[in-house]
Amino acid sequence: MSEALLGFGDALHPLNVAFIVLGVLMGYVIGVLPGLNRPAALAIAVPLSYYMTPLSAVAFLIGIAKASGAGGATTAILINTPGEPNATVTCLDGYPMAKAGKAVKALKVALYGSVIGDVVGTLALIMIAKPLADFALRIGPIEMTAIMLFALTLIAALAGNSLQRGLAAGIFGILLATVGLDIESGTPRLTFGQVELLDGIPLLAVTVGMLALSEMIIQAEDVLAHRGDQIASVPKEGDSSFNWREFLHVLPTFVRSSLIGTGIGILPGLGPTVASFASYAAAKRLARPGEEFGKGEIKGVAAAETADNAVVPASFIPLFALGLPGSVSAAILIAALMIHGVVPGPRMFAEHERLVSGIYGTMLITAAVMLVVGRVGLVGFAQLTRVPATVIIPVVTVLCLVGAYLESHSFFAVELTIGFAVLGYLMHRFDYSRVTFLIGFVIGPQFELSLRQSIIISGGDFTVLGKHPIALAIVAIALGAGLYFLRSGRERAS
Amino acid sequence: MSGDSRPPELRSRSSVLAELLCLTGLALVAFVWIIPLQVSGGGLGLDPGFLPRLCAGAIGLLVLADGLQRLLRGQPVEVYPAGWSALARVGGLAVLGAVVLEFAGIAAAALVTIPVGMLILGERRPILIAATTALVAGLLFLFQR
Repeated sequence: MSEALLGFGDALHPLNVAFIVLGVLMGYVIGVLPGLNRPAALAIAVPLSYYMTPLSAVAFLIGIAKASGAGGATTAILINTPGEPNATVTCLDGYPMAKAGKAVKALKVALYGSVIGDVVGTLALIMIAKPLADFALRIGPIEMTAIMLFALTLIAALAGNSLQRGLAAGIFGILLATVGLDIESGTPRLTFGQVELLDGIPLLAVTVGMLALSEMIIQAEDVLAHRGDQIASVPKEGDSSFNWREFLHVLPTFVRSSLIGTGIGILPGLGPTVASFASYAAAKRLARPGEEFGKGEIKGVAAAETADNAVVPASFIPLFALGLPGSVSAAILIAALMIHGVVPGPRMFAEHERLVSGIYGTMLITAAVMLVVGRVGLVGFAQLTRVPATVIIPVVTVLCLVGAYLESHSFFAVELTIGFAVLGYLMHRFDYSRVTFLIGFVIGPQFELSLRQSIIISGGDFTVLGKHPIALAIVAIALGAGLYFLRSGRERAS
Repeated sequence: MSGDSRPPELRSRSSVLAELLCLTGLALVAFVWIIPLQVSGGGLGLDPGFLPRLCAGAIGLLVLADGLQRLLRGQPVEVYPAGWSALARVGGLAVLGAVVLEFAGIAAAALVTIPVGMLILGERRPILIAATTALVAGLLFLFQR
């Protein structure tokens, strides 16, 4: 208990709070800037956290992750341009509200919804992660292998358009994670004689290359196609108030959407886009007479933004409890934690109890900072849409190269980053999910360890599964889910 | 949110077939040649090449299944809307940045890469180019020190 209290005390340290404020400010800026999204921003920010303490690094990155989601609503509401797919739903009612002179009201609803969703998701993380981790410590490698197979199937099916392509991408990630010294025999594998690869492919080179640098190539396509930037402006006149009566009117939507977002966030692979759509659909289904969704309904903005922001903290539940990243943000957080010698997973609660409590405290403080920064900069952040993509792309490209170099002061890491950027672009172009690849790469070492232990325990006999009902049930669910997604994919195509 | 209502252009069967052959071929080459060549037997515990071979085999089968499904069922595959120019420009820019970084350091990389990048992406406002370059290079110089 004292460790937990000390952890919360660490979260309140002025330096830590300063990094939260910096992260939230950067997150809002990134959310509004055209061409930058949450994963890319996190990937670039990880190298900046080298020189911070583990808690400050996590505080900084969590500030970026949470605020970029909230900031993304600005362009969706003001210029009908979602910065990320999950903000698409916000456009449906946010933009009509802006056209009706209620832009500031929509921005306020989006902000309050983001903060409420974030707090509910964080409280769920605090309540669920520890008991789930205790359970995870009692299960064996056969169950762990089954859980990872299930998670990969779910992510593969939901992150892309085809289950087969998604699985191929995830397994490719696992294949590249085997590069380096074999964990059991110490034999070099797939290193092609490169000494730098004996420790494996650096996670940072993969995340920065795959998510940030390849994203700049994709954004450059829009620039070269002259799909010009729109500039947002907040009208000075109109209905900008959001009073208590309206708050109480929207409160049930805030609560319902927080729970939907949290539930979806816990499941690996579903992510904020699914949460926004599901929450919006639920709000629309429960609409009262006179509430016209799609035409500027305040509850539509609330539903989308609340669920979107509940996903981020909830997606850390499988990460902290099982070591499984449920989202790209969680996968990048693994990179940041590992740089500081912390391996996410069930043992983290025993080995780094103070840090875990500090992270929880940090996440709650981040919600409060988001509210203050978001409220103060509500109108000002919109001006950032004036920064052209022709400025952002070269600057981010340089930051990617510098970030990759700083990890090990090695040019080999820079070369790898460029290589992974090209690979990431090709995967995007040919519809192989980069998200699934990255998650496969992150869980690869743990998957191999569990698989090896399972094979040794079972002696290679698959019938042993019969003696492990939990593993058997998870494998059956994974197979069922796989068949379901295959069928629904075929129906969609036909 | 764009108002483009033209139907998307579809990829030809030969291009889908070429992608299928290329990726399945790569997986096969990895399975039978690269992995055995790059992974020697460990002697202790499970064969170190077991998981890499399992992965390569699984990728080959999944890509084959996906390609055949597309070809035999005639599932339409949309043509990617952009050409290769963005990859060439930003990829080239990254290589230039890496070379300058290696020989002249972090700040110099920004000093060269940012104006070149802005120019190749069509930016023509000299003050904006100079200001952006000076700001980022200056910050990186201070960071380096």
